Amino acid sequence: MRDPYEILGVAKNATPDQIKKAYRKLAKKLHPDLNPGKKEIEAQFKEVSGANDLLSDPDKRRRFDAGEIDAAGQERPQRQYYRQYAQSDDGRRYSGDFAGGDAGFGEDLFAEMFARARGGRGGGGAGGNFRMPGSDVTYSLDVPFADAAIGARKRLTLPDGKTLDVNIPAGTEDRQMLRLKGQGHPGHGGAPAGDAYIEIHVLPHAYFRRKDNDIHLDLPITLQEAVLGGKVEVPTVDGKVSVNIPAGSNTGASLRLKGKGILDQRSKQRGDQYVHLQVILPDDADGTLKEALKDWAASHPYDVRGKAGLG
Amino acid sequence: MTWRIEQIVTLVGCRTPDLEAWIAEQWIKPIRDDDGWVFAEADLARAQLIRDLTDEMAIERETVPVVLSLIDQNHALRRQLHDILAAIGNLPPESRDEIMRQLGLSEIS
Repeated sequence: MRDPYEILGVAKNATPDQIKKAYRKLAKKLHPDLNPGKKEIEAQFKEVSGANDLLSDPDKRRRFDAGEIDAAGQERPQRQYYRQYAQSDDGRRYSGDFAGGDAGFGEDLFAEMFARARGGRGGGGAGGNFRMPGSDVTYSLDVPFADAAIGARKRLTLPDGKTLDVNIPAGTEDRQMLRLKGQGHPGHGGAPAGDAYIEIHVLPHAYFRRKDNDIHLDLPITLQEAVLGGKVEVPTVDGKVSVNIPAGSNTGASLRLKGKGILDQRSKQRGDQYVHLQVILPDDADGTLKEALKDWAASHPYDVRGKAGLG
Repeated sequence: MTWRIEQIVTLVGCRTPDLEAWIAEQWIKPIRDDDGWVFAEADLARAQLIRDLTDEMAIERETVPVVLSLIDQNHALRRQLHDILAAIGNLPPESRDEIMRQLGLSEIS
């Protein structure tokens, strides 16, 4: 990085107030969102804000002046500017477009264009005589794992106060787009409204994992349950079910709960849930397990690593 | 990716009442579900822009909506221009060349 004093255009002995003023002036000129068409300005702004971060902090400035630190590493981490989203579907909510939205103001220009095309001079009447369908709008929505798996209804309130009831179909995938016909921006001149698209973000679950249409779950079991078998309660997206653990179940063994997975949207078949068992030893604070196993261990040696090819 | 209000406050480095005021003024327009506001990436970036305007550039509160409105109109125009250029690009070459000629544009080969 260049000399921060030089970047901000201030003297070495500038007062904090002079530094602040110099930075504000440059920020107003170089902020990327005030220069939407200039790609290269971001690097300049980054340099200026890095210089300001260094010189506006009395401690950092003192250490820089004393030569203890250099100006490198003062750059701010990469960040996103609004201009990157303004032209995206999300940005349409703010900038609108031809037919609608807050700043959508093409009416006069297009009315003029049609008037010229008809051979007239100058602009058309207020509102213009042209038809244009409304544009689509996109919203993002978080959906809990279980709701996406078994389906749910969600009510959304839009910025204009309008509410949308969104039907989240069972088996909805992360990043899936739901289309609500006619819920976008209104059309112009009697043309139909655009559509609303809802991009679904499926939230990760604390213990369920989705793989294709199957759900995977790690289930801790006790030593007793592993050795002797027994009934345990297992959570599924439909609620708890009772599952029989066979005697002699190892860590890594898995049980399949048929039809407890996620609905395939094409075949309308539900996947399965796989329960991966994990044997958890007790805390054995009183040492009785250790005691009980001593004799047993001596008379029951068994080779596990040889079998796994690690011998 | 979407965020909740507490996350936006941390990411932007503003106070909750500030953010709520910005929403009330419609400077930021997140949608709402049963659990509260849902912020999209554009909403986050816009909140950061407002923070920059008020804190870094010391733009007065009353002036912020003027700046935002001009930025929005600028983006709307850019979008419209972009769409028109795309439409021109799809015209037959003769029509495209005629438009270029009328605009006095020529490509350097």
